Amino acid sequence: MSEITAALSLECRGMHCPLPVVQMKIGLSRINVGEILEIIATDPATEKDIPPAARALSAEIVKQEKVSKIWVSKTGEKYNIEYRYYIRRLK
Amino acid sequence: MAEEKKNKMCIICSKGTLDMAYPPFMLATAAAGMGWEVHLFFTLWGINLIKKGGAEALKITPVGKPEMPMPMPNILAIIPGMTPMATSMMKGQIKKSGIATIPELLKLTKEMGGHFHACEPSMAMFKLKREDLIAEVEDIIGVAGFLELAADANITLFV
Repeated sequence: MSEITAALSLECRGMHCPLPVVQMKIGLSRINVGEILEIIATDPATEKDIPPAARALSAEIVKQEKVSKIWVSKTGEKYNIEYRYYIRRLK
Repeated sequence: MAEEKKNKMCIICSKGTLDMAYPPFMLATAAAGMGWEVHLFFTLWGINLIKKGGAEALKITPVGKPEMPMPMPNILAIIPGMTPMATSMMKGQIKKSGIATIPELLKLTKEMGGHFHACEPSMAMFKLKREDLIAEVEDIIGVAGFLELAADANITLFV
Protein backbone atom coordinates (compact mmCIF):
# COMPACT_ATOMS: atom_id res chain seq x y z
CA MET A 1 0.00 0.00 0.00
CA SER A 2 1.37 3.38 -0.91
CA GLU A 3 1.99 5.92 1.81
CA ILE A 4 0.60 9.42 1.47
CA THR A 5 3.35 11.91 0.77
CA ALA A 6 2.52 15.45 1.83
CA ALA A 7 4.11 18.33 -0.03
CA LEU A 8 3.67 20.49 3.06
CA SER A 9 2.87 19.76 6.68
CA LEU A 10 1.30 22.36 8.95
CA GLU A 11 1.58 22.23 12.69
CA CYS A 12 -1.76 23.44 14.04
CA ARG A 13 -1.54 21.87 17.49
CA GLY A 14 -2.76 24.18 20.23
CA MET A 15 -4.66 26.32 17.73
CA HIS A 16 -8.36 26.84 18.12
CA CYS A 17 -11.15 27.63 15.69
CA PRO A 18 -10.92 29.38 13.26
CA LEU A 19 -7.12 29.25 12.96
CA PRO A 20 -6.76 25.70 11.56
CA VAL A 21 -9.11 26.64 8.69
CA VAL A 22 -7.07 29.76 8.02
CA GLN A 23 -3.88 27.69 8.04
CA MET A 24 -5.44 25.25 5.60
CA LYS A 25 -6.24 28.07 3.18
CA ILE A 26 -2.70 29.43 3.41
CA GLY A 27 -1.25 25.92 3.11
CA LEU A 28 -3.30 25.07 0.01
CA SER A 29 -2.08 28.24 -1.66
CA ARG A 30 1.50 27.12 -1.07
CA ILE A 31 1.24 23.73 -2.75
CA ASN A 32 0.57 22.83 -6.38
CA VAL A 33 -2.64 21.36 -7.77
CA GLY A 34 -2.66 17.61 -7.09
CA GLU A 35 -0.29 17.85 -4.15
CA ILE A 36 -1.23 16.98 -0.60
CA LEU A 37 -1.26 19.16 2.49
CA GLU A 38 -0.94 17.61 5.93
CA ILE A 39 -2.56 19.31 8.91
CA ILE A 40 -1.88 18.21 12.46
CA ALA A 41 -4.29 19.66 15.00
CA THR A 42 -5.55 19.23 18.53
CA ASP A 43 -8.80 21.18 18.14
CA PRO A 44 -11.69 18.65 18.15
CA ALA A 45 -13.85 21.10 16.19
CA THR A 46 -11.59 20.53 13.18
CA GLU A 47 -13.46 17.24 12.61
CA LYS A 48 -16.49 19.27 11.62
CA ASP A 49 -14.68 22.37 10.32
CA ILE A 50 -11.95 21.03 8.05
CA PRO A 51 -14.04 18.83 5.67
CA PRO A 52 -16.56 21.53 4.61
CA ALA A 53 -13.84 24.18 4.50
CA ALA A 54 -11.73 21.92 2.30
CA ARG A 55 -14.67 21.41 -0.08
CA ALA A 56 -15.28 25.15 -0.19
CA LEU A 57 -11.62 25.65 -1.11
CA SER A 58 -11.76 23.08 -3.95
CA ALA A 59 -9.76 20.48 -2.09
CA GLU A 60 -10.50 16.93 -1.00
CA ILE A 61 -9.75 15.02 2.16
CA VAL A 62 -7.67 12.01 1.13
CA LYS A 63 -7.30 10.67 4.62
CA GLN A 64 -8.34 11.72 8.08
CA GLU A 65 -7.27 10.18 11.35
CA LYS A 66 -7.65 10.64 15.06
CA VAL A 67 -4.99 9.22 17.35
CA SER A 68 -4.51 9.15 21.11
CA LYS A 69 -1.43 11.20 21.78
CA ILE A 70 -0.60 13.54 24.61
CA TRP A 71 0.63 16.97 23.68
CA VAL A 72 1.22 19.94 25.96
CA SER A 73 1.29 23.51 24.64
CA LYS A 74 3.88 26.10 25.70
CA THR A 75 1.31 27.59 28.04
CA GLY A 76 0.65 24.23 29.67
CA GLU A 77 -2.65 23.27 28.01
CA LYS A 78 -2.83 19.51 27.71
CA TYR A 79 -4.42 17.70 24.77
CA ASN A 80 -5.03 13.94 24.55
CA ILE A 81 -6.05 13.51 20.94
CA GLU A 82 -4.28 14.44 17.74
CA TYR A 83 -6.22 14.97 14.52
CA ARG A 84 -4.44 14.50 11.19
CA TYR A 85 -5.81 15.54 7.83
CA TYR A 86 -4.39 14.89 4.38
CA ILE A 87 -5.90 17.27 1.89
CA ARG A 88 -5.37 17.28 -1.86
CA ARG A 89 -5.58 20.54 -3.76
CA LEU A 90 -7.94 19.98 -6.71
CA LYS A 91 -7.62 23.30 -8.51
CA MET B 1 -17.47 27.83 -17.91
CA ALA B 2 -18.99 30.48 -15.69
CA GLU B 3 -17.24 31.03 -12.38
CA GLU B 4 -19.18 29.46 -9.52
CA LYS B 5 -20.78 32.11 -7.32
CA LYS B 6 -18.95 32.44 -4.02
CA ASN B 7 -20.84 32.27 -0.76
CA LYS B 8 -21.21 35.67 0.81
CA MET B 9 -21.61 36.78 4.43
CA CYS B 10 -22.37 40.25 5.76
CA ILE B 11 -22.13 41.11 9.45
CA ILE B 12 -23.26 44.26 11.21
CA CYS B 13 -20.79 44.82 14.07
CA SER B 14 -22.48 47.06 16.62
CA LYS B 15 -20.53 46.27 19.80
CA GLY B 16 -17.15 47.57 20.85
CA THR B 17 -16.08 45.44 23.79
CA LEU B 18 -13.44 42.71 23.98
CA ASP B 19 -16.00 39.94 24.45
CA MET B 20 -18.43 41.02 21.76
CA ALA B 21 -15.68 41.63 19.22
CA TYR B 22 -15.14 37.88 19.04
CA PRO B 23 -18.31 36.59 17.33
CA PRO B 24 -18.03 38.77 14.20
CA PHE B 25 -14.27 38.36 13.81
CA MET B 26 -14.35 34.59 14.44
CA LEU B 27 -17.08 34.16 11.82
CA ALA B 28 -15.37 36.52 9.40
CA THR B 29 -12.00 34.79 9.68
CA ALA B 30 -13.49 31.34 9.22
CA ALA B 31 -15.65 32.40 6.27
CA ALA B 32 -12.78 34.21 4.56
CA GLY B 33 -10.68 31.10 5.24
CA MET B 34 -13.26 29.06 3.33
CA GLY B 35 -12.93 31.43 0.42
CA TRP B 36 -16.21 33.25 1.09
CA GLU B 37 -16.81 36.89 0.30
CA VAL B 38 -17.02 38.64 3.69
CA HIS B 39 -18.23 42.14 4.54
CA LEU B 40 -18.12 43.65 8.02
CA PHE B 41 -20.17 46.79 8.56
CA PHE B 42 -19.03 48.64 11.69
CA THR B 43 -21.71 50.74 13.27
CA LEU B 44 -22.33 52.39 16.65
CA TRP B 45 -19.89 51.05 19.28
CA GLY B 46 -18.55 48.67 16.66
CA ILE B 47 -16.66 51.66 15.23
CA ASN B 48 -14.39 51.20 18.24
CA LEU B 49 -12.99 48.04 16.61
CA ILE B 50 -11.69 49.89 13.56
CA LYS B 51 -10.44 53.08 15.16
CA LYS B 52 -6.66 53.40 15.13
CA GLY B 53 -5.43 51.51 18.19
CA GLY B 54 -9.00 50.45 18.97
CA ALA B 55 -8.68 46.68 18.48
CA GLU B 56 -5.62 46.60 20.75
CA ALA B 57 -7.33 48.56 23.52
CA LEU B 58 -10.65 46.70 23.82
CA LYS B 59 -12.03 46.23 27.30
CA ILE B 60 -14.60 44.14 29.10
CA THR B 61 -16.49 45.31 32.14
CA PRO B 62 -17.80 43.06 34.93
CA VAL B 63 -20.77 45.42 35.44
CA GLY B 64 -24.05 43.68 34.68
CA LYS B 65 -22.32 40.40 33.74
CA PRO B 66 -23.54 37.70 36.10
CA GLU B 67 -22.34 35.10 33.57
CA MET B 68 -18.64 35.88 34.12
CA PRO B 69 -16.48 33.06 35.56
CA MET B 70 -16.03 35.08 38.76
CA PRO B 71 -19.31 36.99 39.04
CA MET B 72 -19.25 39.96 41.34
CA PRO B 73 -22.06 42.14 42.66
CA ASN B 74 -22.57 45.23 40.49
CA ILE B 75 -21.91 47.44 43.48
CA LEU B 76 -18.33 46.10 43.53
CA ALA B 77 -17.98 45.86 39.76
CA ILE B 78 -18.34 49.62 39.42
CA ILE B 79 -15.28 50.30 41.60
CA PRO B 80 -12.43 51.90 39.59
CA GLY B 81 -9.95 49.27 38.53
CA MET B 82 -12.47 46.47 38.08
CA THR B 83 -12.77 46.92 34.30
CA PRO B 84 -8.98 46.83 33.76
CA MET B 85 -8.84 43.79 36.03
CA ALA B 86 -11.55 41.91 34.15
CA THR B 87 -9.89 42.92 30.86
CA SER B 88 -6.49 41.65 31.88
CA MET B 89 -8.02 38.40 33.18
CA MET B 90 -9.79 37.81 29.88
CA LYS B 91 -6.68 38.67 27.86
CA GLY B 92 -4.63 36.31 30.04
CA GLN B 93 -7.11 33.51 29.46
CA ILE B 94 -7.14 34.13 25.70
CA LYS B 95 -3.35 33.96 25.60
CA LYS B 96 -3.13 30.87 27.78
CA SER B 97 -5.71 28.91 25.84
CA GLY B 98 -4.13 29.72 22.47
CA ILE B 99 -7.15 31.56 21.06
CA ALA B 100 -6.36 34.25 18.49
CA THR B 101 -6.48 37.86 19.66
CA ILE B 102 -8.81 40.42 18.05
CA PRO B 103 -5.96 42.28 16.30
CA GLU B 104 -4.78 38.92 14.88
CA LEU B 105 -8.26 37.98 13.65
CA LEU B 106 -8.73 41.43 12.14
CA LYS B 107 -5.44 41.13 10.26
CA LEU B 108 -6.23 37.58 9.07
CA THR B 109 -9.70 38.54 7.84
CA LYS B 110 -8.22 41.37 5.82
CA GLU B 111 -5.33 39.28 4.48
CA MET B 112 -7.79 36.70 3.21
CA GLY B 113 -9.78 39.30 1.34
CA GLY B 114 -12.41 40.41 3.86
CA HIS B 115 -13.97 43.85 3.39
CA PHE B 116 -14.37 46.41 6.18
CA HIS B 117 -16.92 49.21 5.93
CA ALA B 118 -17.50 52.03 8.40
CA CYS B 119 -21.01 53.36 9.03
CA GLU B 120 -21.32 57.00 7.97
CA PRO B 121 -23.83 58.26 10.59
CA SER B 122 -21.83 56.56 13.37
CA MET B 123 -18.72 58.37 12.16
CA ALA B 124 -20.61 61.65 12.33
CA MET B 125 -22.02 60.88 15.77
CA PHE B 126 -18.59 60.12 17.22
CA LYS B 127 -17.00 63.00 15.25
CA LEU B 128 -14.57 60.68 13.50
CA LYS B 129 -12.74 61.28 10.24
CA ARG B 130 -11.33 58.78 7.74
CA GLU B 131 -7.86 59.30 9.17
CA ASP B 132 -9.06 58.20 12.61
CA LEU B 133 -9.76 54.73 11.21
CA ILE B 134 -7.29 51.96 10.44
CA ALA B 135 -6.10 51.63 6.85
CA GLU B 136 -7.86 48.26 6.48
CA VAL B 137 -11.23 50.03 6.28
CA GLU B 138 -12.22 50.11 2.64
CA ASP B 139 -14.86 52.81 2.67
CA ILE B 140 -17.43 54.74 4.65
CA ILE B 141 -20.92 53.73 3.60
CA GLY B 142 -24.48 54.37 4.64
CA VAL B 143 -27.27 51.94 5.32
CA ALA B 144 -28.31 51.82 1.68
CA GLY B 145 -24.78 50.82 0.77
CA PHE B 146 -24.86 48.02 3.30
CA LEU B 147 -28.28 46.81 2.14
CA GLU B 148 -26.96 46.69 -1.40
CA LEU B 149 -24.08 44.48 -0.20
CA ALA B 150 -26.37 42.27 1.87
CA ALA B 151 -29.14 41.90 -0.71
CA ASP B 152 -27.54 38.86 -2.32
CA ALA B 153 -25.65 37.53 0.73
CA ASN B 154 -26.24 33.95 1.86
CA ILE B 155 -25.84 34.94 5.50
CA THR B 156 -26.42 38.30 7.13
CA LEU B 157 -25.95 38.73 10.85
CA PHE B 158 -26.31 41.45 13.44
CA VAL B 159 -23.89 41.34 16.37
